Amino acid sequence: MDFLKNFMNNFRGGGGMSDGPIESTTIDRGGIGPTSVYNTWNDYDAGRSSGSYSNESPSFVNQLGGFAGNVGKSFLKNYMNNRSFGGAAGEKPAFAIAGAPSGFSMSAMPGTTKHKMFQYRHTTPTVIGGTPGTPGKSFLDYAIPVAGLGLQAAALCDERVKVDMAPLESSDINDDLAEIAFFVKGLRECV
Amino acid sequence: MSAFEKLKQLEPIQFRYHERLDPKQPLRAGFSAQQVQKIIPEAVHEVDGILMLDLNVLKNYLALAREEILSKN
Repeated sequence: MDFLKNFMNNFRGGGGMSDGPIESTTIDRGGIGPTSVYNTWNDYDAGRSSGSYSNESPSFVNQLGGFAGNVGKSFLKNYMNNRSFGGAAGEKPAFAIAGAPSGFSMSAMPGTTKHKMFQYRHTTPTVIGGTPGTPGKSFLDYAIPVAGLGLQAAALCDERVKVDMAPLESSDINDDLAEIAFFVKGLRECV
Repeated sequence: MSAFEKLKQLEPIQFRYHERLDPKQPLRAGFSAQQVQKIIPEAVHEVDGILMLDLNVLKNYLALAREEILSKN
């Protein structure tokens, strides 16, 4: 229970636990080497011509092929229209390399079906917002034992720390866990 | 059981963390680690008695499920 105790003691207000990255940080995992915990494009892409595609960081679901903001709703639309998970009608579907631990993906570049972009990025962490002027703390800061297990992204999902549990309908927070949850909800409802 | 079938057995939930954990208590989407543990045990790890969900394992399952669906079509 020390982990939970530390978590409670260290949690600072000023944003939900996963309101999105507020400040990038680096975690030294003690011998494993520091790990950047914010989205980073791999140097693999460094040679691409400028302006070839936007620099926005796609969510991991977009890596899987691209969804609109509401994954649950767009799931059926994409599935029915394209029989695939990504791309406009008629485009070849984007695909991800299954089993890649840190998110390799290859997908169609916007506006073209010819050119593909190969992306690699680190796992997106949940970042806990800090008070103004102080750095936010990554969820991983509270899960050092988890890092020791080799996990890169973990979510506190124990029923004992939750209240008001109900079948998923909506969420105020759009983090990785929420995207996965809505994706699964779409699977259950539409396929 | 295929990755797709396992994912379909997961029950997405909405929840709030206890007030001491998260004073603002926004509504969140996720899963019960206890329920996930029954279906995909490798995605759940116990840390000091608290169950944590390994998102990377779930992401890999999503990618596998997607391939399974595409291969059927």
